Amino acid sequence: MRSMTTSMWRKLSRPLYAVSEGPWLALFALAMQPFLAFAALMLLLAVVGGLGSYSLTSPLILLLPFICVAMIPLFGLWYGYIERGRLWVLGFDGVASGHVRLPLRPFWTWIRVRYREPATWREVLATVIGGIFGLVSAVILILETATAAALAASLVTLGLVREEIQSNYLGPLAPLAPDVAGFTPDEWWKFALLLLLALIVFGYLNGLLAAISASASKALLAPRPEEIQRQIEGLTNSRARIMESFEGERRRIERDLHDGVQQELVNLSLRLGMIELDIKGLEQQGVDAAGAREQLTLAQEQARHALQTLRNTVRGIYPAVLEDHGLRAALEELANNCILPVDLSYCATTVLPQNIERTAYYAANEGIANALKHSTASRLGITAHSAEGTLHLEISDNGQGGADPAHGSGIAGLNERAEAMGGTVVVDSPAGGPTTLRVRLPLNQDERVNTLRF
Amino acid sequence: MRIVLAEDSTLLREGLVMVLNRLGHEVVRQVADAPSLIRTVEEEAAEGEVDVVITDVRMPPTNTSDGLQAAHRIRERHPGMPVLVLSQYIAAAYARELFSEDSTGLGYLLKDRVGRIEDFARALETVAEGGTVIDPDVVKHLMGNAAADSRSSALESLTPRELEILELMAQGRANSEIERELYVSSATVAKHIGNIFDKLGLDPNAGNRRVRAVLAFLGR
Repeated sequence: MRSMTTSMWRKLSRPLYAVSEGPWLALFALAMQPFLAFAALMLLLAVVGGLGSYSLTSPLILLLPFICVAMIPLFGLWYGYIERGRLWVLGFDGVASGHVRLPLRPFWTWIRVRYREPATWREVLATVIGGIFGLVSAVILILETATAAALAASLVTLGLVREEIQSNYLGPLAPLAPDVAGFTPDEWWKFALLLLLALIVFGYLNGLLAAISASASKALLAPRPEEIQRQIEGLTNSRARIMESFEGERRRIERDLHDGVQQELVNLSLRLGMIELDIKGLEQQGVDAAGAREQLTLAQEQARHALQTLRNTVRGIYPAVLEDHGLRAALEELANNCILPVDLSYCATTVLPQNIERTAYYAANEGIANALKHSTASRLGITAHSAEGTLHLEISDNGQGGADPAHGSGIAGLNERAEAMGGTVVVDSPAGGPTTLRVRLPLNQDERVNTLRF
Repeated sequence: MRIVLAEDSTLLREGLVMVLNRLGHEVVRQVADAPSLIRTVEEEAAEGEVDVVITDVRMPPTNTSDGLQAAHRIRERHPGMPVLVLSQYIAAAYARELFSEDSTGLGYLLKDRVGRIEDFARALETVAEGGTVIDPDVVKHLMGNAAADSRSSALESLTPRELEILELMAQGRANSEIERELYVSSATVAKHIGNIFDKLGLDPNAGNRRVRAVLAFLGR
């Protein structure tokens, strides 16, 4: 695969170019170009023919030339797609598309956007240039083939058949030696030498031609800086949109749980409480209700446990305290709720952007969950402080270390989240400990775009 | 007691009315959101018809801590009006929001607690009489970290027994109840409580030390 990533220019400059795969790649790429042009022509003819046969007898046929012209950008798009593959063969890999990412549907939107993009019209230009190169390539390839065939035929006649050649049988090379009348079988080596020379020259010629056409195509097809920028912004936005929708979904689930199951469970425990009062009343009347009381106590305990579990679940999904009281209160609750002692140190600007608070909270949640799950820690620490427009969050434990961040899907998700905001997540866990999860989040949202600019 | 009840879940509101009636109280008005709570208390208080207000935390219009804000508004207009807040949030921040000002006649109870009707009834009476109630689970939640957090030096200096007593005090228990709970003499309880006050640096002349000792948890 390495050879594929070396461009044709580099290959040409190597001393052993002639015996490398270079000439063959060049031949292939060069041969492809006329075929591409031919295929494009056939496609165009098919369209024209198809439309023409429908409208042959109607005045619509007058529209045909316009339709053909209108379809030119589509050919450009198609050619751009194929040509990128050809460039890859020639070692000019990684020529990205300059187009905006867009679904094919709705089709008219796609058409409108594509026809307006400079990238499309550059591809049209590349098609025209590719067509010219294709024509030149075809001529050159035919000449090369004819020469090589003539030389090879002569070589066979002289060397193997041992017959004289009566005329100047040099094929296309004949004008170079006009006064030569014929060759004897002993002169076969001349043709062997000529053939070898010709093949080497053709190899270089093809390589040069392929490289020139590839460079021209690359210059036209490669995305412009502003197009790259636009693509990055598009990706950043779509990432942010996905995060947003996740957030909305979490909020909805939390609300459903709160409004539904939680209230019902509270009501259930209320009713159990009423039964408790009833049983007490019966006992005061001298009725033996020990069995019922035992069952009731179990039921009450269960209802309580269900409520507590639900409360923990709900908090994990969408912490209301974060929305109502901010990051500090939410981290405090996290620390209070942890089964291990947590040292919390909070020193950040009072007003943090909401998405920063959320990401920081999920990071702390993830860090603590990981420490509890994987480490032998007996004490955890959370520090949060803001400095130079960045929120620094650290979740550390005094466990045995050696955690592999590539393992956890939680950390991967966190990384994704932080990156979408222009931040970073680093897990530092040397063998022997301690493990520290460091999260850095830029507070200024404009910086997000800056850090992503190339 | 005459009670104004604010709870947005119809199911739970009806359940609460049932329990309160059973306990011999009268729910004079029921509402489902914060603005109507404020308005209703205004109307009823003018006629002297309200003894206690019971409110949910999360209610319309914003579905955040509207109930707590309503409690503040009510107590601004009617200082000392007993308010018992029912909450699903164990987080200290909510309790702190409620107890940020004068804490007499205020209670913060988790909804889970309501099912233990005797606890609920006692909390309601304590609040109505001007006492302070903080849900034991919320207190425990705080205590857990108070014991772990080396930086809360004042609470750190309390002995486990003193923390235990402070916890019971936070639940609104009187000394006599604490004696029974821990099987100790009244003198011992008094001594421990004196130590707690000293260690927390509460001025004996400033009044209501008991409440302030409990609030020391929340003030952290």
